Amino acid sequence: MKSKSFSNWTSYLYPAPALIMVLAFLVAPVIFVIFASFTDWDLLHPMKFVGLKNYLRIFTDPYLIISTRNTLIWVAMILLVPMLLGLLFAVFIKNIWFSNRMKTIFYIPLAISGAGIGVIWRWIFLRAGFLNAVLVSIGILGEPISWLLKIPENTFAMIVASTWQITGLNMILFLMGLQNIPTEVLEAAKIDGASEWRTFTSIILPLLKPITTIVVILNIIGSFKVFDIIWIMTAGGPARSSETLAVSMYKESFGLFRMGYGASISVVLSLIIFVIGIGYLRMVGRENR
Amino acid sequence: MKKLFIWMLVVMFSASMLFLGIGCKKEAVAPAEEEVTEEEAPVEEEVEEAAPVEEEEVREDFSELGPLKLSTDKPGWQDGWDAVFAGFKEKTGIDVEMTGYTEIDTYIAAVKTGITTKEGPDVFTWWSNFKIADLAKEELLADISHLYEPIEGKYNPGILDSFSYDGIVYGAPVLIASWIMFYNKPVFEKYNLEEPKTWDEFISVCDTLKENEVTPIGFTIGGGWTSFFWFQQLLATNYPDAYYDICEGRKSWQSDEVKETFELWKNMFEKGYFSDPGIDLGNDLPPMFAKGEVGMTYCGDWFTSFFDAVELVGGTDYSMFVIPPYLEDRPKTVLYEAGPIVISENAQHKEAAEMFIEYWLSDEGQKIWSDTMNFISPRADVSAENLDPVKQKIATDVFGDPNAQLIVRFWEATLETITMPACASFDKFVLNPDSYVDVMAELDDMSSAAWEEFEAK
Repeated sequence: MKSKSFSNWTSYLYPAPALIMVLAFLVAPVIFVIFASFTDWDLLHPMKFVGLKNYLRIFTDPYLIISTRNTLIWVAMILLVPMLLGLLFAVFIKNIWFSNRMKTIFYIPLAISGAGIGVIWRWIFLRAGFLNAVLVSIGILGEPISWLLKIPENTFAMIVASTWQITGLNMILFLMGLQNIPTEVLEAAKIDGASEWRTFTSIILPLLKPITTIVVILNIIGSFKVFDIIWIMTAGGPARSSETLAVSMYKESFGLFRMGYGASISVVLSLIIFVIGIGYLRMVGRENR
Repeated sequence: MKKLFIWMLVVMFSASMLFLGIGCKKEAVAPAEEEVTEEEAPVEEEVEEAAPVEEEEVREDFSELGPLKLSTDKPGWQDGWDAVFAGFKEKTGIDVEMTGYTEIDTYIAAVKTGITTKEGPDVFTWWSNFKIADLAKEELLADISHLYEPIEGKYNPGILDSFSYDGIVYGAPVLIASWIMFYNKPVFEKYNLEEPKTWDEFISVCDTLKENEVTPIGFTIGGGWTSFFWFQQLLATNYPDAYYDICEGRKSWQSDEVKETFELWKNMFEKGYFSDPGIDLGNDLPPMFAKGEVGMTYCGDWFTSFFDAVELVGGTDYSMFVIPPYLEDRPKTVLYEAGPIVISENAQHKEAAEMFIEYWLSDEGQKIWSDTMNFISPRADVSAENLDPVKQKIATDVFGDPNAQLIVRFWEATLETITMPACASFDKFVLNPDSYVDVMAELDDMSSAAWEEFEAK
């Protein structure tokens, strides 16, 4: 009996290091951020409890309203463009002889950091950058455009940069999904005389649902927390016009040192991602049942 | 047997954790040691070289008071830091361990959290006026007024005011930079232009450059913080009292002086004097200036380091002038920024920190810093003769001119919670100069809220 209880006790030692790490570096900071979001913490003065003031401010702060709008644009565009492109590329390169090389080519941008992507695309979109040089030289533009200073063109320019980075990942995931579709089903459709389009819409797409769920969730989370590309390309400017919620959170916290307010933005952002993520997974689960 | 095995596992786990802990400690210490070794390597050489001269002097060894921990957001000035650290070590035997940050936001956060404890830096570079007041108000900075007593008169009292709060001096100057107009000398010579002495002459220079398809003034809002440049210049040089009143929350941003400033600035935009504001201050502007695509650019005199990067030679390829005020009865007025180095009130090596600041303020410390960095020393008896011709001209025309009125740069003259949001509002104006009335209202609301927040603390 004694030996069993000892054995029970020691069994807790095995996950203990991991548990301590999770508690110290994940759970504790989360609790602290939630606590800080109800205070006016600014790193210098003692924290003062301010109730829901920070949360109420989010809904009246004009810059936060712009950030929220931009974040929604990012989510919508990232769900639309890189996902569709990823699916399209996956379908087209699946059966071509140099598909492995194509996979590598499309995957390379993902190996570059977000900051690196930002630097590359900033150089492309600058007034004296590559894009203007090409467009002016072939006569499409009379004079260069400051893409990163124009609203909302700057947000769309950054979405293009992000699309370049994540399309490869989406493509690889969709390729995995395509490879898992049983060939018998596709052959049966062929024998039944189904056209390529009909096979794609009635067989391939429904069978890709599990992988599509993963791609959608990854893209939603990614677009809500996008920061590095924006920070490098525009730093949220001009006039805070291209900020997303993640950038606003950083600016309020580490630019203006309104840590409490920044914490409240991060809590709201996390809640939005959590609710959308859970909602989407439930919806997919219901459909599958 | 099973019990023994479990015990062995527990012992192994404990041992590995212990080793891990020691390893971490060693790792944590190692970079600092390496950093010091690296930094001090040339020092030792210099000490060895200097030994025959120094042998006669009896030097006390204060090395046990250190090592001094110094943090800075200016790690790029490594040559200057190394030279001063070497001089300080030679004098006192104290090592200096420097931690440099390239990201300013991270630096501020690290300092603000560090200095509330003994774990933070002993000395660190900071910003003047309201930025220094923020920390002094919370009693996080050490009073260094007594270090100025033996050297009274060597430093301009106006500059020391920038480092003071409530009559106490907290900082020693690391950088004193004037905000002046740089111009491309070959371009000016090509179009027979001279340094303007009045606003009309300045406008005439802009017009001539414009007629010859040279963009008169390089200007950017690219990095999110540069849009205040011309607002501060136009308002502060013409209405200095109103400028300070507005910065310190005593006057409305919707006042006539601000309106006139925006209208003047708008007029300059309409005449096409400014470059595309989408260019980058550090990457695009210097090459454009070097190629003569841009004739002039207004910035702090630290901008010469960007000219160095594109191999422009001060005095040959470019020079400077003070922008004349728009109002005729105004004296020569120059915006300046003063960057201090301060001591944390909670410094672990406070005695060493005071010795370091004392050395920094000394004739020797200032000379080493000024010569290595090509910076104008704020200490009156440190000669500018080793500086490049443009810096010498600044030393004479700005800091050496008793009639020149020096005014604190906008960045330091107002609250931290006002500077960045104000830049966002100035961005709006730059993108649409007709929006200035709305921008003024927005600035007024933002400023009122920031002062309310400041006073509530």
